[in-house]
Amino acid sequence: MTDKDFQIIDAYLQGDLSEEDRQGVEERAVSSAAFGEALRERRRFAAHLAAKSHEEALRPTLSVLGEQFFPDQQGAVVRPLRPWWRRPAVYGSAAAILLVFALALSFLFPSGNTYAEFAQHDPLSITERGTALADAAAAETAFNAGDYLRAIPLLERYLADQAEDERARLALGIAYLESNEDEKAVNIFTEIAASEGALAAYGNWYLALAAVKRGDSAAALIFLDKIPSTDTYLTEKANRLRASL
Amino acid sequence: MSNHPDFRYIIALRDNDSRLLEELYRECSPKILSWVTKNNGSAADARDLFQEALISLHHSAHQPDFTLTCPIGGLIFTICRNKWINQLRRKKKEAEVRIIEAERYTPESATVSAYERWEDDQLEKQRLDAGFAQLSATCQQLLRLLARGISSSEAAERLGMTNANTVYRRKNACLSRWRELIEGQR
Repeated sequence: MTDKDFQIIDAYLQGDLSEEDRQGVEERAVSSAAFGEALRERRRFAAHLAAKSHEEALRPTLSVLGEQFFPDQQGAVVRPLRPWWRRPAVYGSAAAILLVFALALSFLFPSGNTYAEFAQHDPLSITERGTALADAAAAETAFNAGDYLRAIPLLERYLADQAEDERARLALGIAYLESNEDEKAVNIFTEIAASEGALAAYGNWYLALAAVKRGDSAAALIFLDKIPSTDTYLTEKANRLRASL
Repeated sequence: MSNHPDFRYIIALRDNDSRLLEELYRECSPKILSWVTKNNGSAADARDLFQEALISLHHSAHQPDFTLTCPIGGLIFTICRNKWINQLRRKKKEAEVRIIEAERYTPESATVSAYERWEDDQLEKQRLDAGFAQLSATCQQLLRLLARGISSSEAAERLGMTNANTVYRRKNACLSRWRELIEGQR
């Protein structure tokens, strides 16, 4: 097997070959045992890496559904879960809370209560991700309780050690946004959106929300358009936000 | 062999389709929740078992020749049941294990075959993960970036490599090293 052979296999697995060349690869995989074995092996590696990469995006989806369908039995902490609008029990209290917020926000933000309506954040779960750092649990508790001012220094310390934890970095951005440190928040969301990582779509979603917060609907629409339709959860939220702008 | 209609849930796992996954949770979670809580577990245990079963199926779903030939609910239940028994064993709760194993539980033959295939996939995954963990940090980072669909030229820029050709050579070297590490485990 030469470098050129592996290059052809790579191109084949990425779907970059013409139909004729594809057939050539498949025929060679049958006629040459070494080539066939190399193709199977590279396919196995590619599948494994793709699964690992997608797992990062799948876990948050499953965590939210898990909280919904496997509720803790003993009066556990109620977190602001994603599909809150499907829960009739929360409408009464939510309406009252939103009314108070709407009155306050109508003075603070020119876009009215649209920001408050859509700024429903998924719970943070750093501790479930296997870290033993002391700040992790405290940061998670503060964030999930909506105590963003307390969450900020904890998340900053946590990220000093765990700089690659994108979920925590996104949470820090949200905490800044909720604490009216919008410039810092936008810097973080911009980095996440540009990273092409598992949370890139969330970077754009929060850039859109930050724009809504400062009353810039045109910018919000641009960021919403960057959310890929394959992310059905965020696409649904983006469509609802678009309709309200 | 043709796929069971529940294969749509396997596609949903692969595509992170939250609507279909919600349907899967609605259909399958009550049985797991009820069984785990009746066998010394909590709702949180059931939630974790269910999630890890789905994550493992998601890995299988990326295999090019993966097929689902039985109802997914039966397969998920079998995976969760056996995982729970293993957890109880690790916690030295043999009495609970004996109670569970005394109950009559005979999955359909198609589910047994699917479970055996799943076990093979898990062993394979463990071997690949163990090899990957021994690769250099640069190799791991490079392979992860490329798996996310990032172009060779961008990966070169991010990792401080000269150009896309260097990325290609490094990728080849990393994959060859990965193969050696896996073969060394056998």
